[in-house]
Amino acid sequence: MAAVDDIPSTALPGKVLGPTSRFAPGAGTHIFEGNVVSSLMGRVTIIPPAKAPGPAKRLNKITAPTVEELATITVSRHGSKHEILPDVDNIVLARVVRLMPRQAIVVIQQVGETVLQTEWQGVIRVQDVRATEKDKVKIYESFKPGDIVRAQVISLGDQANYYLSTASNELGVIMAISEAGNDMVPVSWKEYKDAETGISEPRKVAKPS
Amino acid sequence: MADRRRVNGPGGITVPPIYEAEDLPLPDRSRQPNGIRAQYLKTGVTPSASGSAYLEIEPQNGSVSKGMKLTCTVHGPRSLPRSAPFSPHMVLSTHVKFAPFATRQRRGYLRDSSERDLSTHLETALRGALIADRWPKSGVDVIVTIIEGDQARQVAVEQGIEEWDMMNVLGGCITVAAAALADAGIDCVDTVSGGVAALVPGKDGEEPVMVLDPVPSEHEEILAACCVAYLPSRDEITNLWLKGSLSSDANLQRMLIARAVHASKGSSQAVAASLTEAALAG
Amino acid sequence: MAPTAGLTRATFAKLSPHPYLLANLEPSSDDVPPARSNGRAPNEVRPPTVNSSSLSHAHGSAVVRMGDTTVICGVRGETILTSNIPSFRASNNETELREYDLLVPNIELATGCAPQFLPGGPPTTLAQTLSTRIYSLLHSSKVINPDNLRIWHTGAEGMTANEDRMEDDAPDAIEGEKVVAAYWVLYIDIFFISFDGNPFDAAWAATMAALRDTKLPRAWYDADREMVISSRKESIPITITNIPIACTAVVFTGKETDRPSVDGKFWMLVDPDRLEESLCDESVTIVVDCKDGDTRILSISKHGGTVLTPTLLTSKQFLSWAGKRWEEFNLAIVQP
Repeated sequence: MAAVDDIPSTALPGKVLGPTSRFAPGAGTHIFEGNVVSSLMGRVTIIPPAKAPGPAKRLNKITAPTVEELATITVSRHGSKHEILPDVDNIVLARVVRLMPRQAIVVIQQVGETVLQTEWQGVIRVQDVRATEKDKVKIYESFKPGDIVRAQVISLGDQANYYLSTASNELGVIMAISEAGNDMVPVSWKEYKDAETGISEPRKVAKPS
Repeated sequence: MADRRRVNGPGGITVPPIYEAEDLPLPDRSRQPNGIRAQYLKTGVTPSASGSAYLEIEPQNGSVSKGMKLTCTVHGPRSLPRSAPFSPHMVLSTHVKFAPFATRQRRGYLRDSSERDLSTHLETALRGALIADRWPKSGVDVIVTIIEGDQARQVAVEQGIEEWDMMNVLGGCITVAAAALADAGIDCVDTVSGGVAALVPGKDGEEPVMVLDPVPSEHEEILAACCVAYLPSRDEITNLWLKGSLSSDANLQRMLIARAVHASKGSSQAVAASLTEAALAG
Repeated sequence: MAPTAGLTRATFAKLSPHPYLLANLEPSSDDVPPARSNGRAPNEVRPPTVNSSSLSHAHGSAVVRMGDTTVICGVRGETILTSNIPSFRASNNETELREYDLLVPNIELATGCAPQFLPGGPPTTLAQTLSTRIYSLLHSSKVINPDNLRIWHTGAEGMTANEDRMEDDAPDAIEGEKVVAAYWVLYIDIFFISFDGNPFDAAWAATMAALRDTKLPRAWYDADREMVISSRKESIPITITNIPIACTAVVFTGKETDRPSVDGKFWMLVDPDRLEESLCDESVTIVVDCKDGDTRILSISKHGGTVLTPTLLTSKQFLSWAGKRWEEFNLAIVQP
């Protein structure tokens, strides 16, 4: 990390971190009057350009090299909870709250590895449950309220809902409770089984990782 | 109309104590005209909130008041209520409330007009600092509770000139809310801070003087006052509240605003020191 | 739970808080002591700290902290003339506090003290319940001596009293006779700054600490002005001789709240935090006063569930825990 002697280790919103000629703005920063400026309170991290200047080390990389790669400055609060918003392509964990004939309403609990403090509502439409034989999918044979589902964000959706999809082998129900109130284990791609009563229930099962 | 959801007490009229003697001798301003009171700031006082801060403004020597105390909690980003229309950016809502024991007169639980006024000023002050488009279709609630106000002067209440106190309260609200927003990790272009300046009559009939961070109980009379919400790194004002009788001299108004900005710079330095400490710690 | 393999602790805690708490209370290894999700032992409380007299506009005030629960209480006295009390009877010296409604406690949660308590609406059910419980306990515990709130008037000599006698028969006095002309009404306002469970214990302790700190100005009735006048110089502390303390515990059965526990196994978690309160259906609050060594029970209230039996509620173990809590709180309140 060269030439970063004048960069402070911590920043508050409004703190000038460096000129845009030398740095690229990362998370927790913005640009104002030609400078990268902190927009959060936290510690400053400088991420060197992915491709180190000088002789290229990896010649097998086919990306088009930019004219000039800059170190990225980010500001983040270490060790404390930081809220993030679900974004398109994120893998989320959500709890099913309500079933409707054409869609299931869920509440997103975790985005990536971040456990959320606030709850965002999502919807899994019937056509987004499975990748194949979409016309045969029935919502009530795929989910039950209380299930925990691994899903992918496909759209930021409307004012209230994020649109989610479970149309992939790895996606679907990962935790389920039976009618009798016991934990269940997945037995096939479309069934969970209550180990105590031996009764199976249909679900869109996520392939156990 | 009694609020049946609270304990209302006796049906008859109760009155606050009426004292035999006049007010205690009021303290005189012992600070320099350009001095502001010391401030103590602490973040994270309400761990279950997204962000929070507590601000205490040091009491004056010999004053009855024990200084101003405010807490602020920030909740967000959170999902908007189902009924809310789509918003491509973060929706800010502010709420300022005095605790019933914060002022000389006991205040009720319902928000009164001065509290609504403060909420609106605070909203404008913060909106100019917030980078709202970073957080689409989400909301943030900023709630300031005034635990202890400045006001310690009977005549102020009787004459209904509480508004001077409101200026100081607003300055504190802005500063504490900015700290709580920073604690919550919500993007802002700058750490906004509040500052107040006032024009008071000079001693022994001399020319009026301008003072920073005026405590109304320390002055016989306040001619005009100004509260700004100021972005120190950008040199921008996000909210300006000026009132009182100033001559039409534009210079005087400009001066008063400049003094208020000066006061906010002072408070900004104090706040920055506490926040940097918090940033290092966590 | 088989499918939870591969989930982090934080995820597990968020997705299935019941099994997570159960797993902590029943660790698989004998080397790990049973603990709650917050790291406390089941019978471990959060030590309280109390600060008094931090407010200048109130006649008495206190801040009580228990872990992440912080509550501030301000007591303010206002006066009411007996002529303004419709049900006033001079002979009543037993039930004045309750009959004339002289104690006015209110709890405010809408300070954003937790994400579920935002301002804007009417007081939540919890806020209303807490206010009512404080109100009842203030009256039933008789911690306030009514004499502290009486403002006396000794019949003045001269004509004023005689003239008034025609239309105004309330505070008037026969010469030299001492009558109650007015009362102090105590407005007790309790604000939650931070909420992490167990609001009643904290609110009650703050109320007691603030009352103990309360000094009302010396006041007298001015017959000429027909009003109560207070002295700025002299003030009289309210005499609080007993400080009863509330101790709350919740019952965790290891299952979702709407399902009965199969094997009858349960844990009593004392001084619950916000998460534990949300996971438990049954709670018990016992208010005790252990002054001079003997434990007096002022109230026991139990809500929800059917796990706690009368035997358990009167067991030595339970009462000794409450006694210890009383001692801890009294020490925190009494010390300067």
